[in-house]
Amino acid sequence: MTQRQMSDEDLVRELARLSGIPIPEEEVAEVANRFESLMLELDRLSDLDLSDIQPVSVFPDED
Amino acid sequence: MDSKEIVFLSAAATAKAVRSGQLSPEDAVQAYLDRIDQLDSRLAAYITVTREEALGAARQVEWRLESEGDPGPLAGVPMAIKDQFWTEGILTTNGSRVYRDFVPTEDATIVRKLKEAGATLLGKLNLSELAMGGTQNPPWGIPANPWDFDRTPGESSSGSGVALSAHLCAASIGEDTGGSGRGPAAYCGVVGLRPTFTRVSRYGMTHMCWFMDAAAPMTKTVEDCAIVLGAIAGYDERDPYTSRRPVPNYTEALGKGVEGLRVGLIRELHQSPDMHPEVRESMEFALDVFRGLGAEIKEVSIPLVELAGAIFVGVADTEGAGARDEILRTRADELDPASRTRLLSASLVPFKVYNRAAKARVLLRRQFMAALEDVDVLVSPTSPYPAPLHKDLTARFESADDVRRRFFFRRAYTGCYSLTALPAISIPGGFTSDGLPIGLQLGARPFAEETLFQAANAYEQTTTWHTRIAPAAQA
Repeated sequence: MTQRQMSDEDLVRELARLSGIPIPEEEVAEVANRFESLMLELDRLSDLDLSDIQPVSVFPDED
Repeated sequence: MDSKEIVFLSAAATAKAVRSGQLSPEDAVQAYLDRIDQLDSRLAAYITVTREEALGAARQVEWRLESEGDPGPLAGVPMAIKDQFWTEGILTTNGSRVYRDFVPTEDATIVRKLKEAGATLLGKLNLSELAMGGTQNPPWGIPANPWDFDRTPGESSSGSGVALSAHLCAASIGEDTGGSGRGPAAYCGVVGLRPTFTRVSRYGMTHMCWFMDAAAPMTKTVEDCAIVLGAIAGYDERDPYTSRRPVPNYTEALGKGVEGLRVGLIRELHQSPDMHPEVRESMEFALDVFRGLGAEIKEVSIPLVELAGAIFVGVADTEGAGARDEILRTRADELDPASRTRLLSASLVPFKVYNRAAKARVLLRRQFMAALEDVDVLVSPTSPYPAPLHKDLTARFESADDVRRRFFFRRAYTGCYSLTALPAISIPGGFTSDGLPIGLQLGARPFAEETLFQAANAYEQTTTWHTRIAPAAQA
């Protein structure tokens, strides 16, 4: 196991603790792997200029 | 009319035969029940077959025919519903052990509307757990793709696609959050529609992502899809997001052709080097067909669409995990391992990251709306490749690149319409050389379902893909 993977797993343990969501120890590695992939992919959105945009949940009928 | 003739009829033809007295509603139901008995033990399309209820409903339609005249546009049409929609007094599992004892006390609005339109309901259809996809051990069996048992029928409305493709129902209802209706339609060689987000009530649907879930008519033909949408669309006071716009007669869009219609190929989805070459060929064939029918072909650019998979997961999975917080805290051990991992990882995403995805969603909508100023219909494949092997779909992810390739990439193709709340339809658009269906996806402006039906019907009437019968359905 690499240092990086250990850090990811520790991060997942800590986030889960703060969220109050139990993650079985034997599943931490897989959740960490998945979480890292998710965050890496979502990091691709960091370069977008979203400064003039307000998020909406449902688009109005006319826009 | 013998049983085999009955089950190969379209929904429109079934209703016509019922209205004219050529076919009794009870015979129609019985033909499908017999076929389910014959084939479904291998296909696993159904979770619950409502045999007695269906026969009772058929007798009611018969009575309505005699006493009231026309029972409705779906007179005596045997349909089946994804087991994500509530059905009064009937088990509604959401494909999950967590809901194995859930029996709703009322029908979902769309179920009520289908009954009012004369449909007879054969049962509840299998799905990926909680309408998410990737379930490793589905509690009610692994739905088999009638074109190739080793391949997925698509997710999450797997049973809805299988049942149609194997002619175990005349029409079905799936649910489409990020492509869960259109994907199975593409992989199973049938028609699947994601309507404009506010067009159809979601009351009585168990949600995956409240702000993107949509009921998805799935049918054998485009005409059937127009009829089913007409039956279920419209305002519902129990779903505050439904539009008050009047519901048009969608069948009036059929047979109009596409002369002068502006058809735009989405450049970024077409030029991906990872697209299956035969899928790419089928899209070029589709453009030739539209061109030959008098449409004007253009290429449009929607730069952000390449990130639609990431945006979709950032919004939908995070939202879905939040909505299932109680299950994650108290009943996570009852979830399938794949669902649990997906929900647990999504539950840890920081709000600022979710917020960025939610903003990117708005930017994506702007780009789509700008493209739709120049064209009437957008074209892309429904999936960049044909149905994957089951074993590839459920294999553990080995790396971040593996996740990107197997999880995010294909979601861009359908997720882009979910994110932007636009209507999109998947229709049979060809076959690979080894006989797997390819889905052609058409998208349009909000509430332009008529334009979709017009273009899809023109393509369908010019090709024969929709007439092919899956090997497992030839029994």
